[in-house]
Amino acid sequence: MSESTQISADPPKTVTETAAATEAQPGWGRALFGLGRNGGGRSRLAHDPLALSPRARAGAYAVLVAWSLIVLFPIYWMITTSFKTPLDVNSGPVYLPGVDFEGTTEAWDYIINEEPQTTRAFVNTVVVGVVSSLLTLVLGASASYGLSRLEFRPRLASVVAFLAGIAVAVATTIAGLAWQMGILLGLAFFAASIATWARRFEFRLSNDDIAFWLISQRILPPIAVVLPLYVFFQQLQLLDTRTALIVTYVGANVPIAIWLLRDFFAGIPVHLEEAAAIDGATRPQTFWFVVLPAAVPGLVATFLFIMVFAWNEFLIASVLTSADAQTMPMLVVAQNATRGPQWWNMSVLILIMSLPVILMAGFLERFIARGLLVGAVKG
Amino acid sequence: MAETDIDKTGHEPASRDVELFAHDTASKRLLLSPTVLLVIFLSVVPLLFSGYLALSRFRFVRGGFEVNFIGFDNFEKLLVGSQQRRFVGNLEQTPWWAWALIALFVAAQAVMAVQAVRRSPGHRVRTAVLRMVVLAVTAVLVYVAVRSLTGEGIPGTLVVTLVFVFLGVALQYFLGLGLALVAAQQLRGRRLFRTLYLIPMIVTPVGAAFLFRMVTDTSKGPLEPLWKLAFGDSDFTWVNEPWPARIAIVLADTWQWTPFMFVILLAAVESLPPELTEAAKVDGARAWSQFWLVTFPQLIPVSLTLVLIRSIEAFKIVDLPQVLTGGGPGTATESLSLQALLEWRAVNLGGSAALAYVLLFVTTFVALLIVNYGRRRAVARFT
Amino acid sequence: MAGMNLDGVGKTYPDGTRAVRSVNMTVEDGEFMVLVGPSGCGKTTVLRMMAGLESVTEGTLSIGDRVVNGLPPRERDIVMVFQNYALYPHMTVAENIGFGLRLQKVPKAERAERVKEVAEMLEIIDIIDKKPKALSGGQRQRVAMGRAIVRRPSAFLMDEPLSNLDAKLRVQMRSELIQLHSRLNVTTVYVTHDQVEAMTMGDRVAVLRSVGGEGQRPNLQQVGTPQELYEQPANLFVAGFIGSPSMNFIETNMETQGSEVSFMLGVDRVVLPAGVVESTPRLLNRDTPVIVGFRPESLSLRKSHDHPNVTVTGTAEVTEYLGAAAHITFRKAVGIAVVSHHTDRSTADAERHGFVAQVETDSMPQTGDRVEFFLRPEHFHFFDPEDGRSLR
Ligand SMILES: Nc1ncnc2c1ncn2[C@@H]1O[C@H](COP(=O)(O)OP(=O)(O)OP(=O)(O)O)[C@@H](O)[C@H]1O
Ligand SMILES: [Mg+2]
Repeated sequence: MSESTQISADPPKTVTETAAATEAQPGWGRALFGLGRNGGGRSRLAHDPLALSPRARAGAYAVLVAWSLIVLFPIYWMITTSFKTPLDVNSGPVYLPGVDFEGTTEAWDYIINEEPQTTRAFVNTVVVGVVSSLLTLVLGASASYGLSRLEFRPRLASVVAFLAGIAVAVATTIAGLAWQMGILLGLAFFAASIATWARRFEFRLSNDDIAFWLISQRILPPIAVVLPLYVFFQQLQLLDTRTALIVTYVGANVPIAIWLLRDFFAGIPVHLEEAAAIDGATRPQTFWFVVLPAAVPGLVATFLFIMVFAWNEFLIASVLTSADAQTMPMLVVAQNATRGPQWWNMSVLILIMSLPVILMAGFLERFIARGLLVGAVKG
Repeated sequence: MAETDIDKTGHEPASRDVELFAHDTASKRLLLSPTVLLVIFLSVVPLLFSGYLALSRFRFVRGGFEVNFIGFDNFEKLLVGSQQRRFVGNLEQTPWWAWALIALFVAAQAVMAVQAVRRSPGHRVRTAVLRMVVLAVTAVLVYVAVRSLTGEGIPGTLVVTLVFVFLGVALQYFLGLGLALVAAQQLRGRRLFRTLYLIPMIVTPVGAAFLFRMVTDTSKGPLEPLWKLAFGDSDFTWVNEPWPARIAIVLADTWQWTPFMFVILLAAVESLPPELTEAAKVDGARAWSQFWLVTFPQLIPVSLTLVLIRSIEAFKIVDLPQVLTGGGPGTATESLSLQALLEWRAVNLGGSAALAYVLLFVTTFVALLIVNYGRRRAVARFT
Repeated sequence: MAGMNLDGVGKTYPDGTRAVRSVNMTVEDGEFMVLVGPSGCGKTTVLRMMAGLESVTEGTLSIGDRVVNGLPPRERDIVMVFQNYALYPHMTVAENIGFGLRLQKVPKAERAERVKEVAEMLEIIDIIDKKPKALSGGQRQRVAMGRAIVRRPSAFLMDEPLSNLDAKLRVQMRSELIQLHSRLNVTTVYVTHDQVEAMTMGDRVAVLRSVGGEGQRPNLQQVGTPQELYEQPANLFVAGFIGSPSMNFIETNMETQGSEVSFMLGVDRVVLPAGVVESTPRLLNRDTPVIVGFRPESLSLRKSHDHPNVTVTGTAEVTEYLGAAAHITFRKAVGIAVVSHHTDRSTADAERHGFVAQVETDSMPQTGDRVEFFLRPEHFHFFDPEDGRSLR
C-alpha cells in the first residue's frame, strides 16, 4: 500500500452495539482518505533506530518465503500438471518440465478447442460473476448510503404484518391454492393488518436494526434456502438460466456488501456533500462527483470480494443449473470422471478460471486491505 | 481535510436524516427497498418454505409431488432415530477423564452464569434466563463433542462440522496473525508477498479441494517420495483414515482462508498508531511483551470480528469435503451442509431442510456467543 | 449583491430540539455581520438556514428581495465556508476552487482564468496542484476562501472559519479577512464564538443566546456595532458576554432620598452623581433590588482628579500579571451577591472568581493585600433583576 490507513483509537463497535451508535466515527473518515499522519509505513527509512536487526530481518524473510512456498507450490504443481500427459501424471510424480518430463499442451488444447462446454461455462462464469457483483454493488451501495444518511423508522408492527402476509401467501400456496391467489391473499392480509391492529403499536425499528438484520442474513446456510429457490425458479421456468444464478447471488452477497460499505459511507463527512450543495450541485451531481470518488476504495474492495464469491460458488450453481447455465466450478467437478480425476484437464480449467481474478486482484491490491478494513473492524 | 473533520462539531449525524435530503422521500424509498425486498424474497420466504419442509415428508408422486405435515419427526430422526449415528455420532466407552472434563466445563459455566446474574441487578430475571439457555445449549454441545471424540466414540456430522470450524478458524487466525506481524515490518518487497498471499482465496473452493487432493496424493502427488519414506510400500492413503481425512480438510481450508485473515490483520496492524509501539520500545519493552501488552490488545476487536465472519462462513463448509473425500471414509468428514446436500440428492427434502435448520441454529448460537461474550467485552475493555 | 432579512425565523429540528426562535434581523448589503454567542446557542443553525442546508421551520428568510425559505442552496447565490473547510479530498486545489464554476458550466478557459486570479489574490498559486491532505491548516483555510470568492456570490456565509488555526495564524487571517471584505465589499455573515473576533471584524455584531430549557426565549439578544454592544449592553447576558474579563455584577438595592440616589456596594455606599441619575431615570424611586455591573477595566488603582470617583475596596485573592496589564481577583468583605442567572454563567463559577479588576502593572498589589480601587460612576451599568434588561 502506498499509504497505510490511519485509524485512530475510535472504538469499533460490535454488531449489537451499533444499535446504540448514532454518531459517525470520525476516525473512519480519516482512514478513508488516508489522512492524518503520512503513511506510517514508508516514513521510517534507512537510519531508523527502530528498524529490524539483520538477524531479525533474515528471520522475517524466511517466514515470508516459507509461506510463499506453501501458497505457491500447489499452484506450481497445478501449472506443471496442466502441461502433462495422462501418462506423466499416472506413473508417479514428475517435477520439472524439460527435465523429467516433456511439457505438452494437449490438455490445454483439449479443454479450449475440443471440450464444447468450456467456452460456455467460462462465459457464464464471467457474466454471472460480473453482472451479479455489479448489481450487488449497486444495491449494497445505495442501501448503505441510505442507511448512513437517512433515517428509516419502520414500525415493527408493519414489518410483522408484512411477514405475516408473506406467511399467508406461502401457507395458502402450500395448501394447494395457485400461487397468484396466495400472493393476493397475502397482500390483502397485509393491507388489512396495516389498517387495523398494526396501527396501535408504536414501536419502531431503527437504521441499525435494519442494517443488523440485513447483515445477519449472511448466517443463512445456502442449503437452507436453495431448495425452495429451486422450486421458485422451476415455477418461473428460470431453472438453468443465468438470470436465476445472478438473482440468487445478489441476494446471497448483498449482506456482505452492506457489511463492508456501511461504515465507508458513514465515514464520508456529510460536510462534503453540503459543500457540494453550496457549490451548486444537484443531488445526483453530488453523489457522482463527491460521494462516489470518496468511496472508491471501499467499492473496489467490496466488488472484488463479492465477485470472488460469485465467481467460485459451487453449491447453489450445482442445484440451480444443469447444462446451459453451468459455471466453471461445475465443469471442474465434472472432470472427476468415473475413471478418476482428470488432473491435467482440471488444472487447465482451474487456471483459466482463476487467472482473470488473480490479475484483477493484483492490480487492485492496494484497495483491498484499505477497503475491507473499514467494514471489517467495525463489524 | 482538517484533522478535526467531524470531531469538533459534536453533532455529526450518523443516521439522522441529513436535512438536505429530508424532503426526498422518493429517493429514500428507492435506496433501501429494493435490497430489503430482495432479501425478503430470497432469504426469508425460502426460509419459511424450508421451515415447512422440515416439518413434513416430501414425496414425488405421479405428476408432481406431495408434502405431508409430520411435525418434528425429521428432527426426531436426527436426534434419536435412524440418523442419530450419522448426525450425533456414537457416544461409547467414554473414559472417566472425559466425564470429568464435561463436569468441569459445566460447573465452570454455571459459576460464571451465577456471577453474571449477580453482577446485573437491573435485569436479574432476563440475565438468568438467557444464561440458562446458553448454559444448556453449550453443555449439550460439549457433552456430545467430548463423548464422541473420546474413547470409542465416533463424531457425527454435527461434531465434525464443529471440529472443522474451530480447528480451521483457529489455525487460520494464528497463521494469519503471525504472517501479518512479520509482513508489517519494514521489509523490501512487502507488496509482492502481500499480493501472492491473496491467491489461495481466489481459487475456487472446489478447485482448491482438487488441488489439495492432487498435491497430497500418496502415489501420484509430488510428496510421493516422502510418503514412501514414512509408510514404506503399504498403500496408505489418508483418505481412508478418519482423522487424517479430517485434518486434510482443515488444512485445505486453512490454505484457502488464511489469506483473508492475513490481509485484514495486516491492514489493522499497519493502522495502529506507531507512537504506541515506539513508546513501548523506548520504555525498553522486549518484542514479546511489546506484542502482548501493546499490539495485541488493540487487535482484539478486529480479531473477534474476523473470527466471527470466518466462523459463519466455515459452518457452511461443503465444497471441500465433497470433493476432497466425498464425506468419507464412511461419513467421517461429512459436514452438516454436505449431509443436507446428500439428503437432498436422495430426495429426502424434509430431512435435508431439518438439517439446514439445525445448522442455522448452531451457527446463530455460536455467532451470538462470539458477539455477546467476546466482542462486546473486548470492545468495552480495549478501546 | 444583496442584503438579507430574517423575519421571525425559527427552527425546530426533526428530533424536537428547538434551536432557534423568533430571530428578527437585517443584514445590510455589503455589511460584515458577526453572529456571536456561547456554544450551542444556535449560530450555526441560523447560518445553515441562510445557506439552505437546513429548512426554516418558522418565519421568513429573504436574500435581496427574494424569499428563499424553500430554495435549495444552489438557487440562493450564496457561498459558505465551513469550519473544517470541507475540501473535496480527491480534487486538487485548483479543482476544488473551480468545482462550483464547473457545475455552472463556465467555459474551461474562463474557469482557469478565474481560479488563477483568486489563487494569486490568496497567495496559494504555488500549491494549486496539490491535494488537500498535503496542505497545512492555513493553506486549507485559504483554499476554502478561494472556493467561496471565485463564485462571486451575493453573500458569504462563514462558520467559525478560523477556529481550527493556531493563535498566531488566526490573528493574521483575521486581518486578511477584513482586508478582503473591504476589497470585495460583499455581504458577509460570520459566525464565531470568539468575542475578540466579533468585536474586531464586525461592522455590526449580533449576540445570540440559547433558547433555554423550554425553548421559550428568542435567541437574538442585541444587534449593534461593537461599540454599542460594549458601552450599552441591552441586558445582563450581553453585558456579561461581551468584554474580557467579563463584567462584574452585584445585586443591591437602590435607595432614593430626596434627590440623592445611592446603593451599597458591599460596605461602601455609592452615591450616584446627578448626571448619571438623569441619564438613567428608571433608577429613581426604586427601592427594589437592582443589579449593578462594572467592567474590570473601568477599575483603577489611581484616583482620577478630574472626575468624581467611587471607591471599591476588597482583598486581593489572585493576581495575574499579563504584561501590559494585570488582573486582580478580589473579594469584598460583605454583601456580595454575584449574579449568574441572566448571564448563563454558573453560580459556582462566578463566586469562585469574585470580582475582577484590570489594572496597570506599575503598582500591582500583592495577594492578600487590601486594595482600594477607583471607578467613575458613569461606568456603572444597571439592570433589572427581574428580566435582566438594562435600565438605561
Ligand atoms: N441536526 C440537529 N438535530 C437536533 N438538534 C440539533 C441539530 N443540530 C444542532 N442541534 C442543537 O441545536 C442547538 C444549536 O446548535 P448549533 O449548532 O446551531 O449551535 P452553535 O451556536 O453553532 O454552537 P457551537 O459554537 O458549538 O458551534 C444545540 O442545542 C444543538 O444541540
Ligand atoms: Mg457551530
